[in-house]
Amino acid sequence: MLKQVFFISVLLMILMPLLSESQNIGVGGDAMYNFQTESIGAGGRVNFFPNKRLSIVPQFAYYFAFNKINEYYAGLGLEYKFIKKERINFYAIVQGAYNSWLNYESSPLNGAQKNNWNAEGGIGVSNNWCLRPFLEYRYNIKFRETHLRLGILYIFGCRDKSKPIFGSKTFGHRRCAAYD
Amino acid sequence: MKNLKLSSALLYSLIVISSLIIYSCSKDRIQAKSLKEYNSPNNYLDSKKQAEQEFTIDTSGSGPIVGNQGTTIMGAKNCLMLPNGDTVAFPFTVKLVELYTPKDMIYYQMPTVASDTILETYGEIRIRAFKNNTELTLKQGCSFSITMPNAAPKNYMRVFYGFNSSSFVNWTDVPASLGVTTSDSPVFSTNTTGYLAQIAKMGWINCGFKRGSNSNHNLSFASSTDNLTSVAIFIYFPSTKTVMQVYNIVSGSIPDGSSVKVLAIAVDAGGQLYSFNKTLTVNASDKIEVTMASIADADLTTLLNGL
Repeated sequence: MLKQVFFISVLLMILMPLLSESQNIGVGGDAMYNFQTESIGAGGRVNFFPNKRLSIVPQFAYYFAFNKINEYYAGLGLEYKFIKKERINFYAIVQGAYNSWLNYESSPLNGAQKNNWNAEGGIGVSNNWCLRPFLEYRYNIKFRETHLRLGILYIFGCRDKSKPIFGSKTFGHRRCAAYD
Repeated sequence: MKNLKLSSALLYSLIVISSLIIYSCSKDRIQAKSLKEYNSPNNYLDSKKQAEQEFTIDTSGSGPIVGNQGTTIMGAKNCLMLPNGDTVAFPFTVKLVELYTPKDMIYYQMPTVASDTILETYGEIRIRAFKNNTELTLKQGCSFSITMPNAAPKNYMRVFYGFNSSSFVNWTDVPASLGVTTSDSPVFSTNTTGYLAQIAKMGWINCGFKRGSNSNHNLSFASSTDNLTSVAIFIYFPSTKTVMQVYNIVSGSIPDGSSVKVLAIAVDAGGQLYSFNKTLTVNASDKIEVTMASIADADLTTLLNGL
């Protein structure tokens, strides 16, 4: 797994300069809570074409070992902004992911196994700032679980360096300059 | 106005979707499903089991005593004694239970396994004698003659005596191990009506033959839907007519290659009958996933008749 993370990091470092000027990429992190397994996790993501209606979002999530469920996910998601306004976006998410359930042996679930493939669907909301907070609510079809994600995404090439990254000098709701 | 309608539609959609999602959520990964609980099936099985037949013996006669299913018993009063060794006076009572089918053996919960070795079996009977309410025993050196009906008797069947072992009846063909000295043949003789033998001890008798193997495996039982604690589980071996009862959800030794029928019976708190059955060939230890399903009494009887 460390090799994979290293590989992705190197890839991002290579791609970042190519993409950063055009606002075609965002990088972010999030915290999540799974309501059914009562587990807390953290994740990272890259968002390709964050200002388009359809974004491609590879992402990684890890639910810590102190939880009842200790696992990680590595997946590829698609975000479709079905409401795309000047200040706010509502989007639908679909994601396919590999799941490695690290402590499956302690689960009462019949047929529990370490390696799984999952599909998720959900909805999210974000704005158009350069440093873009988002909130997502997702449903995991395989495990029939929901989780909430709260995170932030930084859009490369978005920021007018003379201004704060949240938009205006007063942290107002001005959209990202390249949104137009 | 348009934005207001859109927001309302969105809100309602979110409420509906969230409700559907929450309703279909599962905590299965961290919480075991609540299992269906059952009461002991003993009352049900007892209600179906063969009744014990009673014969009052008040004079010397030509005999024999003949049971409902054809078992015959011949014996002399002077072979019986009270626990203190006293002789017995007329009248006294002879009681008989006959189990000749797997159904009856299952209802009576009388497996045909001798110390973890399966027995090929052609019937179990219990013969007891009482003076008033005091159980009588056979004197040393005395025996009763019995016949157990069978249309095609085999010449190698042995007399197995039942003895209490923990909560079930175990079997031995060595009466000396039960403190009984006898010169009677331990093998049933045969004629056209069935098996004939002299028995040196009252109680349970099995017309059996050990069908053990050096290569055995066990079946264990689990369920994600039912609490098996109070479920009666039996394993029937059609080729040897063996009935094995499963205690603590793990079977006894099953010879490799055995074709068996698993039958589980349970009764819930409302008196509803449940069953599970499965046919398999045992060549390795296996865990059987049990899912009980409600069944009518008549259907269970049919199932047992078809074993």
